[in-house]
Amino acid sequence: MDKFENIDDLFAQLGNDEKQAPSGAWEYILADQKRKRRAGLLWWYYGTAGLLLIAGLMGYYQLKSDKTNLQASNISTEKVSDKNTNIASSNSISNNNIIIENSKKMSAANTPCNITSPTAFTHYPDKSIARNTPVNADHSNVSTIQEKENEPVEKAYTPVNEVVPETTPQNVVLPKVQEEKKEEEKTVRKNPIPKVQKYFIEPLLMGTYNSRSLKGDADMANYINQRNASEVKLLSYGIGINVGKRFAKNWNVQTGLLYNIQGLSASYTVSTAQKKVFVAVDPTLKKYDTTANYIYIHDSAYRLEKGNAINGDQKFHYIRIPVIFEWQTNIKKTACIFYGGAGVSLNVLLAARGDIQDYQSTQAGVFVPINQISLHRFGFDWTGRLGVLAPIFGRPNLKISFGFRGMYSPVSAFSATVPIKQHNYSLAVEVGIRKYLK
Amino acid sequence: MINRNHIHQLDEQKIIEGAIKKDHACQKWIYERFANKMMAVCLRYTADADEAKDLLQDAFIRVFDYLHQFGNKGSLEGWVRRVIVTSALNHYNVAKRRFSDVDIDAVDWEKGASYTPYTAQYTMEELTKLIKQLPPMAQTVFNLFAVDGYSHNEIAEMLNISDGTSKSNLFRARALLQEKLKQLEQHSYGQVREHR
Repeated sequence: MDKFENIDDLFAQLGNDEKQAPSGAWEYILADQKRKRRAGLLWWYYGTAGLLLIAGLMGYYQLKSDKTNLQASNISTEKVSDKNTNIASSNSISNNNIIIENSKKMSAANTPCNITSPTAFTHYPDKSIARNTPVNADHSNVSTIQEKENEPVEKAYTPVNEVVPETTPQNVVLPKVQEEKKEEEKTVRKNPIPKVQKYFIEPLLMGTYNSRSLKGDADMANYINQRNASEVKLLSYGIGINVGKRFAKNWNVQTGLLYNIQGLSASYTVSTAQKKVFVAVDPTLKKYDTTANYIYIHDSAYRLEKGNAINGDQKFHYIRIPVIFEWQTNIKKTACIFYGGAGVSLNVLLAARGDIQDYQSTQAGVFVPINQISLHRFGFDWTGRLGVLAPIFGRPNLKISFGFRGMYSPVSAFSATVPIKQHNYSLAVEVGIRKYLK
Repeated sequence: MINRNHIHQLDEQKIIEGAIKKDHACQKWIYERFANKMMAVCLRYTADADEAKDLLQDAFIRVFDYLHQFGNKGSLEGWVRRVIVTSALNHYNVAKRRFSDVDIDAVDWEKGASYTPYTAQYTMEELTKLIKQLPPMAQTVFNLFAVDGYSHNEIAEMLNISDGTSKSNLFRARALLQEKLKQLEQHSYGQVREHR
């Protein structure tokens, strides 16, 4: 027997050992599952919204394109008929000389001899005859243009069209028709950027997907990373109104008032590692219980009792006053807009509101908020967007833009001497109706 | 959605399928069935109860994330245990944080060879405490080999060490445990005599 075999057997029974699983562990797992599901739904939401937008724009252009082609086609047919009728009535083959010349070329290619006189141009009602019949052949079934004078022109020239398919009557007159078609389009097109109106008003809805970055004193790096690790982005939204004024051909300046809610979800479980981090970060916090654990969510610190976990959503409420400069240009029937700007953000409530507050009230004693981190009332934000303005129902314009929004909102941690730079980054989708004022 | 009142009537296969589809009742059934056993595993691989709880939570999240990979190969308990152990080794990076590579020649693993097999009965807590007194590398290798039944090849792969290092640490752990058991028996025997 191996001298160690009994040792292995003795300890192998540990494999069947059971220990009471801690309370709250299942709730944590469940919360994590829900968070992941919500994050997954967000991606579906953005993906679907993006696809719908692309499909809508494509459909819109297709519809407009079909309509324009139809108009152009009508114009073309009318023009051709007019021309041909004129030709037939006046018997002056001005434009149709091209047809005749081309017919000559084709005939020359297929016949052994040349046609010398334009007036003696023969018309072959049957294409097979045109191709195969020599000039010297019997022309009993061949008619001349003069004989066809009284017949509708289009019908009379149809065989010619078949002989020379590359030079259909429509094709021949196309250069002029195209010019007219362009002129027609210019008059039909609704310019989304009117040249007369200088002012516009624009109600807006926006959805943003936020993430946050915290930077601070070097000693706080670990601490900040620990805090950030638990944060999950939430869909945030806003509503507002912008007013703008055009000050140059392609430029306008806008400002407005936007109410914006930024959300994040955070969760944290007590662990011994966090105690060390906390103590190491700020040893001056001896006045607080250094054996306790703290979670900082946005602007509030929560002390956790050992063995507990918290999670929840928090939302920040801002009023923003942006100043935006926009460059726009017409591309086809829409206006392509690029804009960037900056503005100030006013923190409305100076406190986070969300599930954690509720949790605190219903689970009194589990954790205590300690307002060691305070958010400054004012922040600074900037944005860059790319979007389109498309005319709907006449003059008001539907605006859809995608872009990036950044926000810098300084916070103070522990004391005013330990500042933390807080940056919020958002992917933003903005939908608005731009109404130009007379 | 599976009614949690009727979940006990379902067989394990149906419950696994439900858990893969993120049905919370099925996931909870799996959690409740294995949580206590896995907590004991976590306690063996971590420094304290807090860390064990964190590990248990993280590992069960991974269990539910990767349950579709189970594929009914072997027992579910064995698979969950493997996820827990792998999580312990990966998530906490035990191998890199704690381990010092021990060369087989440097270990006097013959030290305990003359020890006669123990006679006393030990509680699970005592045995767990003994394992935790081992050096980290030896502790983990012993846990993996003697308790969780992994081979040296598997251990070497999991800890990114050589087979020889795994063996040397196992022998070292056994020798140290023999010493500690011997001391414990002598201590217990002395206490009994004093008591009399």
